[in-house]
Order: sequence, then structure tokens, then C-alpha cells
Amino acid sequence: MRPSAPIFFVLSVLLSKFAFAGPEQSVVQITNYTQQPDWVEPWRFSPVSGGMGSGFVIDGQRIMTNAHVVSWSKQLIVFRYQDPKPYQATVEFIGHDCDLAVLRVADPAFFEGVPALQMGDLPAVRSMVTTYGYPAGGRQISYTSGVVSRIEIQRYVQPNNRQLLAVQTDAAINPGNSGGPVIQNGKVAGVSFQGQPGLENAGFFIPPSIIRHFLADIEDQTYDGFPAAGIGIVNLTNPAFRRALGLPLNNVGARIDFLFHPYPQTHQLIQENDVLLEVAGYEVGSDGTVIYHGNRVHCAVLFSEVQHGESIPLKVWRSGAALDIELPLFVNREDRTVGNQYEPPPYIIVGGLVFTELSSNYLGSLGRNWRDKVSAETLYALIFRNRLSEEDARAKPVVLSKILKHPKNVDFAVGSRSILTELNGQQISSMEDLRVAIESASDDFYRFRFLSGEQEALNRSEALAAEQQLIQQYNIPSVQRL
Amino acid sequence: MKHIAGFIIFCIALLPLAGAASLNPETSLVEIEVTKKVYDYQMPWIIRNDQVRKNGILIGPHRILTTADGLSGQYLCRIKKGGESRQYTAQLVWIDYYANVAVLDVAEPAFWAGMQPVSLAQTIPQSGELQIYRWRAGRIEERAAEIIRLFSGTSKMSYVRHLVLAASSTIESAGWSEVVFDGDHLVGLTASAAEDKLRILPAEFIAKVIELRGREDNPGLGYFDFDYISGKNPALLASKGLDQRDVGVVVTEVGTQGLVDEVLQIGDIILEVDGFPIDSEGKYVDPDYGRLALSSLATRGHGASESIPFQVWRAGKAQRVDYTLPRADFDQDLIPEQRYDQPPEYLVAGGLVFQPLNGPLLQALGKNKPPLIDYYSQQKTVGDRDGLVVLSGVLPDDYNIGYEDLRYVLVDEINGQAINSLNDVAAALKAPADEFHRIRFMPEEGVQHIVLDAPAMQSATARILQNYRIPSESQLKAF
Repeated sequence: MRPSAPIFFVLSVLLSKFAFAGPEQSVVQITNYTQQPDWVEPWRFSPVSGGMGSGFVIDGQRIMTNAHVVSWSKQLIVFRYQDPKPYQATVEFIGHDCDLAVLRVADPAFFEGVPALQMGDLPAVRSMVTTYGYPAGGRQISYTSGVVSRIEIQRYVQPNNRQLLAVQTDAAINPGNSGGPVIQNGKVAGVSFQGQPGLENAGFFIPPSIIRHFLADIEDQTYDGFPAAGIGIVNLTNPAFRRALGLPLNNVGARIDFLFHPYPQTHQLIQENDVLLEVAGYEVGSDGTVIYHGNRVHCAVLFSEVQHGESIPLKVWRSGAALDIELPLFVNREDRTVGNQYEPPPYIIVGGLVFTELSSNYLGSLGRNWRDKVSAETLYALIFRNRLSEEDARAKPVVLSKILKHPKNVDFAVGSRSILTELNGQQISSMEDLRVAIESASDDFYRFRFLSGEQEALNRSEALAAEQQLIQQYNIPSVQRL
Repeated sequence: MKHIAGFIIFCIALLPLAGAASLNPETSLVEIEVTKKVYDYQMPWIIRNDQVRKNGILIGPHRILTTADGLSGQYLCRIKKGGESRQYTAQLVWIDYYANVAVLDVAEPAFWAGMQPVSLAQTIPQSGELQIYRWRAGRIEERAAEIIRLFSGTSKMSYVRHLVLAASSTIESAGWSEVVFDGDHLVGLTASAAEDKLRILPAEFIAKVIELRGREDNPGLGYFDFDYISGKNPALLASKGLDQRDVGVVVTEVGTQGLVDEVLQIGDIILEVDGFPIDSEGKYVDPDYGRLALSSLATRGHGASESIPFQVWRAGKAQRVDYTLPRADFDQDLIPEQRYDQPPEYLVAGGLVFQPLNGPLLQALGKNKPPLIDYYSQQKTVGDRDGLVVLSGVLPDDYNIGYEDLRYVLVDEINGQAINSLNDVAAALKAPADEFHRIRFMPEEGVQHIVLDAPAMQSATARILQNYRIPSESQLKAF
């Protein structure tokens, strides 16, 4: 029986649509116009520059991409597949720790005829995947295919101080691919995000478990991030150490060597030299790994599956017996200055002295040989605070980043890059401490003391007059931004 | 000022026996070949052989003056004179590494035949041309140098600060005690060279070192063991109640080298030293040489243990304090800056290599030293410790499996005992509480604890020493 003409037409349109509607229909190109702050002169911003990346449409008329594709954005433009029309987008949620972001497009026409891609599962090692994206060098979508090479915990470059699960593939992942989907069996097996200098044919993508964690996190309209236990896990392969702890000489159990700060709940529940036997029901090997979807992966992968404030079940060995512990995990926001930051830095100008937070961004802005420019004490103040105490871990050291020269400060003998420790006898552990100390100053002088032991002073009334003149002279919008 | 006047009179008394004969460098200048041991601080049981060629000059009977540089670890010094090929074996009479001055002697009388000592200049010229001499291929090489300036600089061999004469010259590969003359008088010895600039150890400083050496108590060189910051900012002085401008410097640290941390206080404004007013840049006006940094006053007219009057502004008033000049001594520092003529200390236990943290080890690490080591190496004190020990590496073996990747980790405790030295390590390893050695590292380290089998350590050490061809399990400081 022959179908009638109208039915045939509809069917042929549908067939045609299915024949050509691959994942590329849902892959978008993103152009991001950015301005980044200057970390030494924090009121300044760089000239506008543009960057390109990729993204893809997900449920809820949203676009998923990498955080680094849309960081420091002043203007975001997205393009649909083979559509020259630019659409303006905005960042709805951004997770720098997992390098993921969700965008919104104001014009509902953008999503017409664009299906949302569905999340798949963690691909198996040696299975084939295909990347979709808009790498540099052309305007057309690009496809590359390869096998899944390995699955491991990797350092995520975007935060630079977080390690999460990542999948390595030999499919080419180039600049511009970032944020694009990695597809297996028509579903999203990951989001392309970074390479590794020195490795050939090695690109990395963010696996579905991390993406799902991010999407679940933002369901309450707030992004919390990936929590951590605050424990240092080291291998327990030395037979003497195992015997000293009363453990059999097998390959089960990794040792908790140290408790970081500030994780007060961890300090209550966990002890140094506890041995992790199980995490979330997974047996932990003596090298700290678990069998995770058929892969030997560090047990940290299981901690990153828990949401902020939730608990994870642990079985630990302590004093010769196994012990079950429900350990609540929290996001550590106190270590932000150690990683890459994506908010303009705070600053306070006092009589032409520019103070800001000591941070990795600040040190990085000093150039490639930054280690030659800062003292060992300064570096220590930044990176070892989480080993000392909860108070130290919460501190945000303040650095004299610049002196805007003025007749009233021109003989100030302490140089830039010095860490401020006291103002008028008040201890300075954060920009807020500095603000309070300045506002509560009552005598004729600001008396500064620095980490090096150096002391200096400014006449307070002269300093106030000088900073007003300086912000006009250098077009600085305000004497402080906190 | 009195002290310096007395010092000049004493220098005149030290003039060499030969009197004022006109200079003939061929009869005064000698070439010294130093054969010495060189240590590898990254593999402290390794001893290499090295040779250095430098210059010396006769300043009296059986007294050949040279710099101390290049003499550490020496066990054979041979000297050539007059461009002849014959070499005479020399003995080290004394050496002062802090001052960078040494005196050699040759026992063989034939060496002294026809040799003529030179006189040390009493004052150092501050402008004009000088002559540099050295032996090259059996002939005297004479080069001109132009004086740049005289200043207070840091010794090449230590933290001691003294007068330094800077000069420019086109002479190549200098800095090895080439002799510098102004007419017939020895102005100094080159201490270092960079591009066309020479740093010269002035004769006046050398004479002071010789004079101190000749004293019965041999007090050695002193050092102002404090740091300061400029007092140029009027607000800084005013904030301390001192209503003057451009005077004094403010003390920021005392006991910098672990020598003395009393008398001066952080925040003191130093107004006078030894009767000389101190300006806001830390300079005084020297009666002979004009404006110099106050640090040179420690070595200019004084030896260690002498008392020097300071006037300081403290607690809102000027007051006199007497600063007893401490003797420069590397061993007083938490992290000794230098170790001359001593092999590196180490202890191998179960394949774990322990070393004290010191300057030569840090120099061996260069720019690659871990940030935590860098931090601790600059600390003046760490609790009540008098030294720090690092686990510098692990020689892999079944015994220490799991710890192979530990490198340059600072040790806190072993078997519950605080560790300040390798002797502490050795003692602690003799006293385990049970069948395990428990080692704890500093709290900032990436790993905090390791445990080793105590009864098996000795046999493991013996096996590891043999496997890695290490001649001895330890090289410890003798007490």
C-alpha cells in the first residue's frame, strides 16, 4: 500500500532530520571577550581580548562549557551549528574547581530545533570516543576520534589546586575544543578541557561523574563546589610500618599521614596514622587506590562524588581494630588564594602604599622568575598555612604590592612585595584586619611592621591627603575595594 | 676615632723587614699550586680531587701572603718563584676564612735566596691607576687597573664586612690573589672579578687581620650582628618621638648570624657608633676614607670582643649602650653558612641518608631547593634547636620500601627525641622504644611519619652500603 502524499512528505522530513541530526546540531561555538585584573595594581584591567571555545546544549535550555572558556567575561557570544547569527549569552553558574559552567541565552529562538545532549556513562579504557568542537584555525565544527587511554585523578589547571577524575584520550583536543562534548554511543561521555605539555597525543576530558556532580550541586541555585576530607593519604607498603600498626602484610589499607586545616570535623573524627580500609564501600589498596569502574584510581575519586555537607562512610584501622566513621565533607574556601582566582583582587591604598592579598595570582604576575623576587618567608606564608593551625589556614596574608610615589611617602624604606603583619600594634591577617586597623587608628601615625621585621611609619593626616591626590592623579576609582 | 688612630700607628710597626726597596715583582711574587679535596654535598661520601692556581706575595721572612679562597680542603701547596719550573712545597702557617687571608711558608732555605718582601700600603688610594702583577707562563704579566671606589663590602668567603677596593681592569680570569700595587706598595690582593671589575682586599684590612692574628688571644674579626633600615623617612623617626631629620637607622633584626641578640633592640634608632654620627643611610664619615657604611666600623679599628659605644634612641630618649663586638663564627648560626676544611657530615641508616642543613648543602641544591628548605634555611631560630637535619634521600632497598621518593625532608623527631644534629640521629636510633624506629618530619612536610624495623636496620645498612659502594655509614662531627 502506497502512503498518501502528505504522509510521505512528513515522513521524509522526519527521516531527513534523523539522517542528519547528529550531536553537532547541539554543539555551539563560544566567543568570550575578556578583561583580566592586574594583581599588582588591582584597580587596573588588561586591554580587552577575545577567546574562542565550544559548548553544547543540555536539558533546560542551557549550554554547558568549561569555566575557563567563559572566565573574566565582559561579553559572551554563542553561535549555533552552521548558523551565522550571534546570540548573547550569560553565565548562570560557574564551577572553577571542576572547570565547568552553565550558560543561558536570552533569546528562546536559539534553542529551536536544537536537541539537548544526554549524559552517558564513564567510557571504558580502550573504547572509542569522538570529540566535537571548534578548535582554532577555522570556523567549521571539527571532529576527532580516538581511544580512551587512561582514567586517573589529574590536576585541573583552571583552579590549579584541585585534583579530580579526568579521562585521557589520544583524540586531538586543541585550543578551542574546550567545552565541547566528547561523544560515545550518541551520549556525552565528557567535556574536553585540557592538554598536558610534554605529552603527545594526549588530551583530557571531564568525565560524566564530575559533570553530574556539578549539575546536581546547582539544582538549589547555588554552586558550592567539590568538598574534601582534609586528609593526607600516603601509601602503606613498608612491612615494618604495617606491623607497627598491627596490620597484616597484605595490600589493603593506606595511611592517613596528616590532617589539614581548616577541617574541624575531620580533626574530631580522624587521627593521624588511621588506616583507610574502605571508602564508601570500596576497598582501599596500600597505595591509596580503589577499583573504580574497572580502573585503579586514587580513592580521592570517591570523596569528590559527595556533595558539600554530606557524609561519606569510611572504615579505618585504629589501635588494632576496624572502626566505621561517617565523615562529613566540606568545601574548603580558605585556600582560594593558593589557586587561581577569578574575582578581581581586593586592595586598600594607604598614603600611596597599595596593599592587596598575597596570592598565587599575585606571585604569577611578577613574571617567570617570580621566585627570585619574593622571600622564602613570603612563599611560606602563602603555601604552608594549611599545615599549621586552623587560624593560620583561614588567614589571608596582606602584601605591599606597590608604592605610588608621593612627597609624603617617597622615603618609605620598605620595598614592595613585603608582607604586612601589624598596623599600629594590631595584627594583620587579612584585608579586613587592615581595614579595621586603618579605621580605628587614632594617633598621628600609621605604624607598620612587616614580616621581615622592618618597621615604617606614615604621618596619618599626610597619608590621607596623599592618597586622595594619588587616586586623582592615577585615575584610580577608589582608595579601596574589598 | 681614637681607635683608628691607634690602628694606623700599629700598622706602621708592622711594616716588613725589607724596608723601602723599589719593587721588583720577579723577586716578590710567587705562583701557588693548590691540590685539594672537594666534597659533593649531594653524595657526601664522594671526594673529588681538584687543583687551583693562584698568586702570593712575600711580606716578610717565611711569610707568603695570599687569599684564603681556594685553600679549603688543601693537602699540598707548591710554590714557584721567579718564573722557574722548580716547585717548592709550602706549609699553611695560618688561614682566616672569615677575612679571606692566609699566610704560607716554605721550609727550604733555597726558596728564600734572592727573594725580597714588599711593604703593605699604609693607606689606600681612592683614585688613579694601580698596577696588577701575576705570573703567566714563566713571565710577569703587568696590567693596569683604575680605581672605581672604596666601600664597605661583604667578604667573598663569609658574611664579614670590611673595606673593599673596587677597580676596573681588562685583565682576564683574575680574582685569584693577583697582587695590586700603587708604585712600590702593596695596595691589596684581588678577591674576585666580574667582567672588567675587580674587588680588591685592601692592604689596610689585611694588616688588621695580621695584627689580630698576632695578638696573644687571637680575637679574630668582629661582626655587627644586626640589620637595619634607613631612617630617611621623617615620619618613621617622628613616630618614635625623634624630632630630627636624616639621622640614624632603625634596627630591624638582631642576632642575624646567631652571634648576639642582646644590647640592641628591634626598633632602636642608631645615632652614633664609636663616636661617629650615623646618617639616615647608615653611613658615617671616616677620617681617612670619607663616607662609608657603619658595618665597616666592626673591622676597621676593632677586633672581636672589644666594646664599642653606640648611641641609640630608645623609648623616647637618647641613651648609650656598649656593644661587645662578637667574633664571626659560622657554627653559632642555626644553619652554618660555610664549612671550610671539613668533609660533609652524613649518616646512612637503613638506606636513609641524613645530613645537617648547612650552606654548602644549600649551594649544592642551587635553585632547585624545595621551598620549605629555603624557608627554614633563612630562619634565625627554630624553637630551641641549635641545628636542623634533613633526610636528603633514600637508597632504595627492600628494607625501606615505600619511602624511596623521600628527598630533602626536614627531620623533627626520631623515636620521640628532638633532632638537632646527626649525633642526635645516631643516639636516637640506638634507643627505639620497641621494635620500630619512628621518624617524624616537620609538620609542613608532605609526609609526616615513617616507621622502620629497628632490629633489621643494622644488617640492612651493611647490605645497602655494600650495594651502593659507600665506604662508611657515617661521617660525624667530632666532639
